[in-house]
Amino acid sequence: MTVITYREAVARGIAQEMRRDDRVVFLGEDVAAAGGVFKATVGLLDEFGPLRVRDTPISEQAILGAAMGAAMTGLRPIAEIMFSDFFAVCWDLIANEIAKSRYMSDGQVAFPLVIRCANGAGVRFGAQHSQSVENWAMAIPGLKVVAPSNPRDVVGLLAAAIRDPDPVVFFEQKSLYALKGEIGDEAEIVEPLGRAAVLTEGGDATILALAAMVPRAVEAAGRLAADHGIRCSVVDVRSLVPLDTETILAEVAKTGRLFTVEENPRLCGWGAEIVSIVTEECFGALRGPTVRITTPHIPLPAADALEDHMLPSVPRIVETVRKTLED
Amino acid sequence: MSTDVVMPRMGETVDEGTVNVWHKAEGDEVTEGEPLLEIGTDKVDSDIPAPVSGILAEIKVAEGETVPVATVLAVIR
Amino acid sequence: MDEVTALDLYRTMTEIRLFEKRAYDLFLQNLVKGTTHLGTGQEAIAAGVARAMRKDDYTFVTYRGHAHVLARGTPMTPVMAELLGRENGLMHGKGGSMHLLDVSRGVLGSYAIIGAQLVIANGSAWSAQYRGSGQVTVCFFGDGTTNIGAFHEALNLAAVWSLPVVFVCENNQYMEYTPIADVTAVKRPAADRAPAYGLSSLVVDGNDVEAVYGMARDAIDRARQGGGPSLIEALTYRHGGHSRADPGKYRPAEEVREWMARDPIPAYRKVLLSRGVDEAVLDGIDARAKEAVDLATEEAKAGPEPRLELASTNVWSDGTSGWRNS
Repeated sequence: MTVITYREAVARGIAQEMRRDDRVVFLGEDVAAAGGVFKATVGLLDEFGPLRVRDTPISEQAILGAAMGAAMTGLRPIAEIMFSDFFAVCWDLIANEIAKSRYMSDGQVAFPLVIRCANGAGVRFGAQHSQSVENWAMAIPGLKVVAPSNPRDVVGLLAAAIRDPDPVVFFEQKSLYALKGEIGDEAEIVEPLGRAAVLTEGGDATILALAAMVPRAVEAAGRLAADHGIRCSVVDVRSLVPLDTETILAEVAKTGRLFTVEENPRLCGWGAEIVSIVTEECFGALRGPTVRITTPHIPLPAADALEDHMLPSVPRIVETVRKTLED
Repeated sequence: MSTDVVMPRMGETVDEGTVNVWHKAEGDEVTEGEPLLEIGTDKVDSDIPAPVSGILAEIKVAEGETVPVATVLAVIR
Repeated sequence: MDEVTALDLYRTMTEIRLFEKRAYDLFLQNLVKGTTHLGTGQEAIAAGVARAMRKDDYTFVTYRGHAHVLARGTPMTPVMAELLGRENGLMHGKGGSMHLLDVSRGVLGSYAIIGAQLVIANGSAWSAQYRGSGQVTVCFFGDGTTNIGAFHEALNLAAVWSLPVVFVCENNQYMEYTPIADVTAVKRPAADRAPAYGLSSLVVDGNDVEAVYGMARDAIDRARQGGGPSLIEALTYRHGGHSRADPGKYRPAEEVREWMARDPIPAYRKVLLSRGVDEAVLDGIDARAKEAVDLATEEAKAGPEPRLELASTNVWSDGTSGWRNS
């Protein structure tokens, strides 16, 4: 069984797809010669050359514009936006242009492109380099949104995203880049979009988590079982759009108790939408209120003690689930 | 052939308009494109050209009156 | 210039002029909803540049793009019907006046957000360069665009990657309601920025259709041979306001008079007559253009409102709009 890191999985997923389809091209800041500021794209320039792997100026709008125009005219571009926080700098291209142009033309054009970024906190970069913004992308009709929690899903979901005929925003969690995981020995790994993964099964509560919160939710479930006899199902949501409502609703119906663990700030997080769907469509199965475990609605502080205190920690997850169930 | 001249919607949030000045009188010959009347809204005053050539057969809304968008202002025959 | 091409240029400009005029009338009759941005007075640029393009070249334009779409050969009826929000519209009523797109004729769209089409045009240019197709991308925008960030990002990247793209600035002297000189640090909003990106300053009388054609031809051919991007500043003037809700009264009367005297269409008519073209030939073109606009108006008005189901189609490539699997 091959074991690689989450960051190596990024390069592996891109390489897998660039080998099989020479319409796939890749651009971004420091992605080629330097192998990426997070070293997530090492080796791609050597293997595929400077026509297919391109370093750009610091020009987020131009990067995404080039990806969009190329996608409309026969290529399958992967564009890196270094930090997901920088979506704010090129949001017009994402929300107004890429997301809407197929619809406005009523199907004359398509945008088979991937926007990948380093998302999330835990590395002490401060408020403007630490945000989790999957919910920004989820809120815009016309974008598919994916956030893997482990190396195998990085490869598989990235491959599926690149093969997808529509725009996919691919969120890599920067705090997971060093995470090691097994990826299997198949020559090609493809993991379909729109499918959640049930990681553990337990009848007392269902915990939905995304990206860096998945390992924390799994660890919390272990402690809840060992220390408190509370058995939880943990579901890695993985894909926000398309959303696997079939799995999510079925899992919640089994336990009747729903918790989400979200790295994003409180208001309008991805979990708020899912909780709303559950409440509306699965109300009869609920045995208690739905509870969201999130970062508070505050910009993230830089100091390590403060940042760690804000993000949903394993003890906070354990305590929240225990308290809710036992009260 | 009878053509209605209607009050246009001169702005996204504007629901009515005022006839400020009629440049032509009932019975006058009008040429397509020549200014027929000036309308005013809270945003802007604007000349409205005759949509077709013909006789300005009827003026239905007098100067100074305010009417909703799409009201027939005049008829050209 | 040969007579066939010259008459074709005259025809294109005349058709655009009459089409835009009709669009205005239909707006006043509340048949064109929302708003629309007319290019009346600026026809020579769309017509002159389009004539210098290859069939498989790409066009990008602003929300003031009816002229550019028609100049690439899109028929009038679907354009008119799109303005009227009918199902026989170019995009079945889903895009509207500001978003006209005709992939079959290389019109990769009309863009409502200032500056967006410049960075996107780099993409189709990059794609053509990568595929070795020889296609050139032409990207139109106004003087106001030269002050937005995307303009600068686009020009820089196009120059650095030597992309086959020609940027055409239609300088009609006004950024919406404000004189461009009041808000721009340099005298010539596009031409004086070109050297910042290593490009030549190219200025043309945007109301002289043959001059536009000539300069566009050079720039497009240069791009096609691998000579990289160009930035052309074409001087022109809007006859009407910025949009339909704007009668344009902020412009000085003397200035308006001067520019109306340089109307590109009567000017070109004079040029053709002076070369010995028969007036009857030009009158014939005018008459047929009016017929074409009348027919398009009829067909557009006869078009049904779009079926309600169309509102939920084509978010995704499979034609659907769903976001969940149950």
